[in-house]
Amino acid sequence: MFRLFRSSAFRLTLLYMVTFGASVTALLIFVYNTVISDMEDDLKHSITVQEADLRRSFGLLGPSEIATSLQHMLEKDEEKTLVLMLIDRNWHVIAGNLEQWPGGKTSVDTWIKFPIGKASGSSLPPRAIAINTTLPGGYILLVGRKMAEIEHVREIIVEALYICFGIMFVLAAAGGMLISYTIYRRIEAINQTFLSVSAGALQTRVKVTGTADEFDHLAVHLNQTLNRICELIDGVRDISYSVAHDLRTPLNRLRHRLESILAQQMSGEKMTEEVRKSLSEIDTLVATFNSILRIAQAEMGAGVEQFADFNLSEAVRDVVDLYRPVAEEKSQQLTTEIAEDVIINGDRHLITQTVANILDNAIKYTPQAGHIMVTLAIADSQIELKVADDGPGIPQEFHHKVTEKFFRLERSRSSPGNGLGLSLVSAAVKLHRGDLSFADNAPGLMVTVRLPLK
Amino acid sequence: MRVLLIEDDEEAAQFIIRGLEEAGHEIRHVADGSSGLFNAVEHEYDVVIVDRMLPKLDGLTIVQTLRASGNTTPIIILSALHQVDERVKGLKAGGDDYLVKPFAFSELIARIEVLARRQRSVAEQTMLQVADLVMNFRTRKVTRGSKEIPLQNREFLLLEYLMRHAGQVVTRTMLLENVWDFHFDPQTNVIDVQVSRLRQKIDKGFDKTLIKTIRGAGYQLGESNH
Repeated sequence: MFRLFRSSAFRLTLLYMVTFGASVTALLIFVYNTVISDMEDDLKHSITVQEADLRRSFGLLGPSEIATSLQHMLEKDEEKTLVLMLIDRNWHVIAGNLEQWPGGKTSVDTWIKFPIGKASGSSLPPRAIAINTTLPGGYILLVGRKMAEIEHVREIIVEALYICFGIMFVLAAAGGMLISYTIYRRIEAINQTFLSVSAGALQTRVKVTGTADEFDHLAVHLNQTLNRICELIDGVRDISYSVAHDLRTPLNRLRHRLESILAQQMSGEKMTEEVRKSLSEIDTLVATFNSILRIAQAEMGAGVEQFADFNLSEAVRDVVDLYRPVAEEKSQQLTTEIAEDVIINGDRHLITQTVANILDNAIKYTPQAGHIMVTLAIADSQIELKVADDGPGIPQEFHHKVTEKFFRLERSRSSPGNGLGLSLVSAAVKLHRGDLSFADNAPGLMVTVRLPLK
Repeated sequence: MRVLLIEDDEEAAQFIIRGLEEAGHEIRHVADGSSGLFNAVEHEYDVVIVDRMLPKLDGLTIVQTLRASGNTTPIIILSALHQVDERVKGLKAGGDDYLVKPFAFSELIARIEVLARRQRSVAEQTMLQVADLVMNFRTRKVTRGSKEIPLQNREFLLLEYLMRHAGQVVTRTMLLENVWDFHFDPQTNVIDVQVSRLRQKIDKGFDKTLIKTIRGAGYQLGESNH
């Protein structure tokens, strides 16, 4: 179930919106202040101009003329924004549109702001701004404007602020829900996949949307992990089947041998021979089990923590030395080209066995007087081990099958071996993050093992 | 030879006891770890055979405890664990040899005899001699009678191992482990070919064969010495 408020995406969106709202508010307050003070400056400017004008006229014409002219100006003011007043030294109003002198008696020659008229409804009473000047003879002139326009702009900005907050809240809530739902859907797809995998549907995979975003990357990596796990499980399943099938034959032979010893009246010598054969059959079985164990260990990645640096050149030379007499017995020519001091980080025993298995195969399947060439080199900053022979080779279509456990070519079924040699090679090479490939040596087989340089 | 066997599998133990007694050894058997350790500390033995997994006290712990107390009796560890690192652990703990189950009895007896005798001949030698075969370490030359036998490096090491254990049976696995330091079973019998090549050089043209094949077990250089 989708719980909105517990979704981290939703909470993050809200946090983002709050931050965003705070910045918008700060911006609006800045705009508001700038606009209002600009408008006030304009107003003050026109007031100053008019006041200077009137002061000059007063000097020329005297109080009564000015009073008339003030009345005249007020009558002509159609927008009713002017605020004018003239008083004498006894604070008697001579002319003007104010009922009484605004502010205290000390507020002379300064800018003053004062309420004008009655408050209508809930809104504040309209205000005015004015300057007053002392004129010769103790007269005081007040020139001002109603601030209606400024008030209006203020109202517009405040209203805009409210609307802005309203829209933002709706957007935040909707966006938060949308974003968190989108993320939730992607995560939930992964959750569902893993729920069904853990419930047993191992083949379920996370859907990759193809947008190549971080969720796709995550999905691809999770799928790779699942594939690897499935491979391992399949490997275990395969080997259980293979063990059950392929060990039946030698066990069956062993059983017959023991039965015949029991049933027949054999001479001591013949019986000894039969028992000896049985023992060697058991040894073969044990060797097969050991191989299976080693392959399983390599496939599970066991022993990686015990990897150490060792000289691969020496290891390869040792293996070649061990096998050289065997090749010579078959009059085969075993030539080597081994680069000096190739150091590798790995499991020395496993790598040695890998090299031995490949060489063992080459000697076993190459006929009398054949040629075998072992090369160790560094190519393209990789270690490259090649064992090439001019024997019968492996048909192309079986190249990928020969590393399967217990797989044997039809023609080699009669020769000794358990079909695990190359499986171990493959597992060991994989454990060392290397690559194993087979190629036609025209004629013969070329086995190439590439291993990463340390 | 006095042998202590610490093994909890009754059938396996009876099999080992029978075999060792037939070979003329005196054997004492205990079935759990703590009485095994007690016995090993209380009495003198020539060789201790200890199973890796035991009730009450684990095989590795026994080996470690014995070694920590200064006991130097040769120890062979038996185990059903085949990993190479298990083997390394066993030898690190102070075991002298490590044998994976199932094993051929000939393998066990060969290793016991090699171990028991090793105790007595640790002194540095400049030469080895078996019958008329002489190996000189200073000159790295091998002669039989008056004839010098040229050997390649690995052949020299192989012969050295056989000569150091003259009169004892050494198995193919022992040769592979000690001469080549390889710990796996090669599919082809490489050791047989190696030994027969060495035999060609050592024995060809001489009346007495020095390197003998012991059927079902391995090889032996020179006459049995017991």
